[in-house]
Amino acid sequence: MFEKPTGVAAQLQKYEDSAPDSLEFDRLKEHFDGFFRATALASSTSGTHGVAHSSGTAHSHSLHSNSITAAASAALARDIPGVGKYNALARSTSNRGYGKDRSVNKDEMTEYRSRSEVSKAAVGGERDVELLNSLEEVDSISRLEQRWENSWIPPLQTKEMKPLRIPLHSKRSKRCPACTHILIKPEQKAQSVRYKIKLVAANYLPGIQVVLPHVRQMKDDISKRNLGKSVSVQVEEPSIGMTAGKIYEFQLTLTNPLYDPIEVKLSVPRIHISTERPTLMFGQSAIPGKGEQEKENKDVERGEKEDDKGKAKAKVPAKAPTRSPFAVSLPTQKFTISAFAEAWEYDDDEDMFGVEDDELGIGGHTSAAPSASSSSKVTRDKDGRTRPKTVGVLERKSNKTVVGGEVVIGKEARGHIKFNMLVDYTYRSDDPAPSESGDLDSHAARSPEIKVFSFYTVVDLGPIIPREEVKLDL
Amino acid sequence: MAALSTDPPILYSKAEFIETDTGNKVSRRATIAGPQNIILGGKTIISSGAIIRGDLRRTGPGHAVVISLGRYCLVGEGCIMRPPYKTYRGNFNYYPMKIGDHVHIGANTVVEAATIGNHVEIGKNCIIGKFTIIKDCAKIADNTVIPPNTVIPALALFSGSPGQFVEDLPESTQDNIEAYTKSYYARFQPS
Repeated sequence: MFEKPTGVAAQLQKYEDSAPDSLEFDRLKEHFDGFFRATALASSTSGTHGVAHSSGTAHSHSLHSNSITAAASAALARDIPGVGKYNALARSTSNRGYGKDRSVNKDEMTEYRSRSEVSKAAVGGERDVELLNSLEEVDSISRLEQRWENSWIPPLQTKEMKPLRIPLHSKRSKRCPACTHILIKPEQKAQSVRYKIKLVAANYLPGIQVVLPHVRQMKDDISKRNLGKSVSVQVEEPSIGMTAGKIYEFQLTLTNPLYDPIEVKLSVPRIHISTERPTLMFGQSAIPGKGEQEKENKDVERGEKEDDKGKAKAKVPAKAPTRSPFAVSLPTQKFTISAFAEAWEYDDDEDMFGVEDDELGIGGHTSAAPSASSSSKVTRDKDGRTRPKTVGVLERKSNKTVVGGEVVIGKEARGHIKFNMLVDYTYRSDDPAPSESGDLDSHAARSPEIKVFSFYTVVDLGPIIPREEVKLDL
Repeated sequence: MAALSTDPPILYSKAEFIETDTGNKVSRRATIAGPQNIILGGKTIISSGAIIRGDLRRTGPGHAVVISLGRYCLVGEGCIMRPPYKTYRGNFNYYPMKIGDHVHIGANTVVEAATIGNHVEIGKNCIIGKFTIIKDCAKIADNTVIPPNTVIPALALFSGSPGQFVEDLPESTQDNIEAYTKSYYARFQPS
C-alpha cells in the first residue's frame, strides 16, 4: 500500500480523498452551493431582481467564498418579507434552465441523488461470516479501541486499518497565575529548543538531592565486586532499601543557584496524625520547640518547588491507626550555603560538625552501615565518647551543603516514605532597587535588602521493604 | 578537591581506559571498528563492551565520517552503535550517524539512529531503529523500542514498545542534563 516508509500522511491523503464519504460530501456541497448562492443573491438584490437566470453563472453582488457564511446570510434573508422569489437551480444535478423557476418556492430544492446506494454501501453480512469462520488469529479483527480512533466506518479487519496521523505538537508559553508575568516564552523557530524568556525555579530555588548513605554503601560494595565483569553477568542485590522497623540516616544536598549566599532553615510541618493504611505517606515532626506550622498555613509560601496536591491533605478515615508510620528528624538550625561562583574562587571549609541537636539522643541507635562510612564525621562528646554525627550540617563544598537527617520507620510502615518539608531561605541582595524618581541619594538606593522566601516540597526517601514476619491481625 | 560524600567518584581501573589529549576516555575492552572514521568530540567516555562500527561506511572515495559524537557523551557498557543503511533505487548505502553533545546512552542499547541532538538521555536496553531522528533534550526511557524512521521531537519523553510519546519534559531539562553530564565526567576517575 505504501511506497516508502516516510511521508505516510501524504500517501494516506490519496486514499482519504477517494473514500466514499468524502466524494459524497463533495457532491452534496455542489448541490447545495447553488441554493446558497441563489438565496444570497436574492437577499442582496432586495426583490428587484426577479429575472430567472437559466445559465449557471451566478453573478451576485456579494459572493460568499465560504458556504457557511452563505448559509448564514441565506438564513437571515429568508425571514424578510418582500424579497423576490428567486430560484437558481442551475447548479444542481437536475432541472437546468427551466422557465418555471418563478413559480417554484425558493426553499424547495431538487432531489438529490447520491452516488451510490447507501444500503449497498455497508459490508454484506455473509462476507463477514465467512471471514470470521476462516479466522486464524484473534488479532486480525480490529479491537474496539482501534475502531474508535479510526474513521467513521472502521474496517473489520486489522489489516485494512489505515495508519493514524500524528497530532500536532506545539510549544507553549507559560505565565505566572498570580501576576501574569511571562515565565516561559519559546523562540518562534520550531526547530530551536531555546527560549526568549526562561525563568525557571531551578535558577532561584535551592536544589535538593536526597541520598541514603547505606544504600550507596551497599551499591558501592556490589559495584566493587562487579568491577571487571560485564553488565550482563552482574546480579543485582534485591533487598537494597529501607526495612521497616529500623532507623536510617539520610542526607540532603542543597545547592545554591544564586550569586549571593543564602541561609536555609528546614522544618517538617506538624500535621494531625490521621494516617491511612499502607499507601499514604506522612511524617510527623519529632522536632520539639519548633513553631507550630499547620499545613494549611499556605500564605507563608511564595514559591513552590513541587506541588503537594493531595498528598499534603490529612485524611480522616474511620478505622486508621493513630500512630504515624515513620518519624523524621531534621536539623533545625539555620545553615548557610555559599554563593555560586567559579570553581577556583572557592575557599572550602573543613567538614563542619555543626551544633549539637536535641534529637541526637536518637543518634545512639544508628545502624551499623552509616557509622562505618561516616568516620570522617565522628565528633567527640562531652564524656569523650566518639559518636558518629548524623543529624545536622555534614559537609560544605562550593555552593552545596549536605545536611543529615534521620528517619525512624515503624514496624508496620508500608509504601514510600514521603514527607512534606518547609524550606525557608533568606539572602541579602545588594542590588540597588529601581531608583525612585527624584531620589538622588545613592546610599538609599544601595541599601541591601534581606529577602525571605519559603516553599513546601515533598521529600521521597524511597520504598519501604516490609518485614517478612507474618503479622496477625489482633 | 575532595568530592562531596553525596557525589562519589565513579572509579575505573586505570589500565582499562585510554585517555586522549582531548579528554576522551575509551575503554580497551570496547570494540572500535574503523576508528579513522569515528569522531569523538572531547571528554567523551566509551565504556567497556561497547561496539562502535566505524567500518560501515558508504561507498565512495575520500574520507567519510561514519559516526561522530559530541562532547561530554557517554556510551554505556555493551552498547552497539551502527550507522543506518538503506537500499535506494537498487543501491545499498550506509548513512552517517551524527550525535550531539551531552548525550548519555545507557547500557546494552542498540543505536542505529541517523541523528541524535544535544542533551539527549537514552536509557538502558533500548533499541533505536534505523533513521530515527532524535531532537534536542529528548529522553528515552529504559527498555524502549523505537521503530525505524521515527522522529522524536525536542523535550519529549518516549517509552514503551513501540516507543510512544508520554509527556513533555520541563524547560530546565537542558540545564539539568548539562550539569549531570559534566559532573559525571568530572567524577569519572581512575582508581
